[in-house]
Amino acid sequence: MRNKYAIAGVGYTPQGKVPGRSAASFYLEASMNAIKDAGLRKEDIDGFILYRDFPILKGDAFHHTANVITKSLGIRPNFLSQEAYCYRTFLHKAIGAIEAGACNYVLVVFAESGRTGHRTWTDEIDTFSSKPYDEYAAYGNISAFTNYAFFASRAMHMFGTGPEVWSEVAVAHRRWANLNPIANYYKKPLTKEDYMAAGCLAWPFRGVDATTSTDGGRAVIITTAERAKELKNPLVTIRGFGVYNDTSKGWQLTPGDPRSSAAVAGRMAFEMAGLTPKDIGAAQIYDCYTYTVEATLADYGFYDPHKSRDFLLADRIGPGGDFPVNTSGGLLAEGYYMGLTPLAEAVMQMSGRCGERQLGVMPGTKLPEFMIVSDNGGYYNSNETMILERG
Amino acid sequence: MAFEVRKITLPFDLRTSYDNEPFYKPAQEEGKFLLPRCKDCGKYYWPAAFICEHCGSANVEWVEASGHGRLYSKVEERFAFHPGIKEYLPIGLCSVNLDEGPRVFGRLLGYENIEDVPYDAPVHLVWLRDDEKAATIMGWELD
Repeated sequence: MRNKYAIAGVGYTPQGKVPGRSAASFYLEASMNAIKDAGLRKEDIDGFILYRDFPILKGDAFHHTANVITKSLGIRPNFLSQEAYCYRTFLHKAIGAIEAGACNYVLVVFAESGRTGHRTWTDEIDTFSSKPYDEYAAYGNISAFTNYAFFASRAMHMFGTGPEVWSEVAVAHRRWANLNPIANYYKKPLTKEDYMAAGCLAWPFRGVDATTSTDGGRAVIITTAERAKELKNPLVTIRGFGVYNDTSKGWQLTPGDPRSSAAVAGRMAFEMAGLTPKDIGAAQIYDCYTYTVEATLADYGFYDPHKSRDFLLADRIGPGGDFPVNTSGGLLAEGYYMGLTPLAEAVMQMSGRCGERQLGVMPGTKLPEFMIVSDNGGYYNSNETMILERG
Repeated sequence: MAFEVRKITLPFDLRTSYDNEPFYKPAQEEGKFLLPRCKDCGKYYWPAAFICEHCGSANVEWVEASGHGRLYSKVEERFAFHPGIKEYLPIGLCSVNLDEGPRVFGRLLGYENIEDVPYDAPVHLVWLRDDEKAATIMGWELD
């Protein structure tokens, strides 16, 4: 499968604070923009994956399903899909549908009006009244934030990490966001002192350790490298990929587990690619929390988890550093579009379309030959990893 | 084995089902701490489930457990991620590796500063019971 598939188009929308717009409108706009970006017609889209299902929210007139959105797009794909939970499955589905001969061009999209409208997760848990969410809600555990905090807390003990390391990660993301005019935190700098001064929402995490919600949508189109070559964008292929699910909940996770989703998916991706971490020039890591970046890169083998503080320096992973991470500002500082935030940015970087923050154009940087991209779901318990290559 | 029972007001009703009732019902009615143990492979597991997560056998029994373990991880919720928990903050939460093997969840009890609570410290079970909601959950206190 090495280099057999490619990401042929990326779709953006107005984003950040976009009051008055519905999630549905962003789903449609992001999808059409990805189709136009690839130089395709909407009728060419024969596989359509709407990232994942959420219950109908207060601000919605209808349930956002793949069939509703494709009806509004006026297309009739052979293959429709939407994950029921937070598993990361779109890559297997897209490639599987193409390999099965059902599809040529599979579009993957996520959108929400989470910043000024109604946010998935926070809205949906209200709808259960006296029994919100699951068994653990009665204990008071009702957010992804606390579940990830469990994971990070144990890592403090095992590996000596903590706010000192996470502040470097947060500051680096903010520096990147300050080079990205569409980022939520554009022109909103963050210093290490600002980070330390912030109070913990759930010890050991501060609010600045977490992703930022946004209004907007994001889409990508997956096709074969052979077809992508005939389209208008520079070729960006998937040299290797891996997907794995360790299925633990946040509070059950063991930091440094060699069979974590990221560790196994990463090994699969490196093996398919015939590469090692030394070959990778930059990373776009699913950064729902600062510690997620630390854990993912450690599980991929970029460093010994005891030595994360030597690797994760803002000057190293931020603009101008020798190992750029999350060059759009990522989920922490650009905006939350599930795994499409890191993937879209990776494709834009690898095709040279990132303006002021473009690697290889920014002084002191070079455009890498290979870039690693992660997407993880649930509480670090589902992972899709891709290693992208410039064609 | 008798465990201390403390009265508490829970923020929400406890979700129980066919699967986890064999754990929570004896806790509520008799103060018993039961764990599922596989009769075929002999191992304990948690959360509750119809089959053994180690070997897949449905030949499972519920047996009384020690209520002793070691603190694996800890957090302290200080922000109301749901409006229903606001009046109960801060809430200490923990995961515990039981002497019997499984990692379980619970409230962390009897500490002053969350940062000072030692990881891997021995802890013991204290039941937290809400009479109005007729529910009992696990609390863990340093030995």
